[in-house]
Amino acid sequence: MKGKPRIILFQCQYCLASSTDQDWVEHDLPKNIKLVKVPCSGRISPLFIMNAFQKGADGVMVSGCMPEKCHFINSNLGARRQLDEFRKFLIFLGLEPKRFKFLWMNIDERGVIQKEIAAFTAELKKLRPNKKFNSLKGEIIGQNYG
Amino acid sequence: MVMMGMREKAFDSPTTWLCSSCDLCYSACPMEIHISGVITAVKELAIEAGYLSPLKTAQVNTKTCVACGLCVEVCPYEAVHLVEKDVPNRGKNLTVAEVDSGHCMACGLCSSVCRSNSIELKEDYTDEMVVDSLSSWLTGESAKETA
Repeated sequence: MKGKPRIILFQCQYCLASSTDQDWVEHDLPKNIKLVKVPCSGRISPLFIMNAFQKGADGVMVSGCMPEKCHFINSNLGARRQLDEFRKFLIFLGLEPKRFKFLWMNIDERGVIQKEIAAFTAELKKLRPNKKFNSLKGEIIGQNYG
Repeated sequence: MVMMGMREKAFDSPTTWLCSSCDLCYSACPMEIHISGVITAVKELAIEAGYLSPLKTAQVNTKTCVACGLCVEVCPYEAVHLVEKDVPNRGKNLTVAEVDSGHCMACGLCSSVCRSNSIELKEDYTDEMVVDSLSSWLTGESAKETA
């Protein structure tokens, strides 16, 4: 792929424990990445990811807390159940499951998110840009909830 | 504090309402005090005394709820229940989900599993807000930059 892949980063608001990492994600993200903050990774409905791909995102990354470290008892397990199933569903859409990545951030670690984003960007560069749903642009189907 | 007669102060304190019982403090406490258990007990007393949670808790759209029970299953706080009630413009004695706003911690898991988009967090992080911010970026700014 020429140019930079466009990535949507969903972030649970409790998963980055260090303030330097949190600052980096909020202010110094590369311009090809869009941050969407949610209260918990459980809030991320598969429809959001579907919508991002429909509008032409090349990759979607979700970062949440480790199991048993979730701020909301076990909401992140609910997220994994939904989103892992959804990843399998991507094949039926004609998209590579590689385009979607679910990350578990450990609260003890520092500087992991930067590395993971760099690795994910490099991986997406090998794939073709996502133009699967370009023909749908402007139609009702792409307008709201897909 | 409750025992010492400082009820109002304990019930008004944000700690009472913002503790989500994640129990990260429990594993760190050298005296092995189950802190969230204490806070939950205070919260129950506060709910009984008629205090309301300051959080923007989930809300059910009773007109579209089909009472499938998915939200009831997933809620980590057991804050959602199926109840029978009258829904204006729809019918009487219908089974719909209802959120107990005292126990809801506004994590949003219920709204992500809801298949009929009938349960949403108040004001913050509604489906529309998330999808709008996504699509405005994807169709606007970023399209110019990467083209």
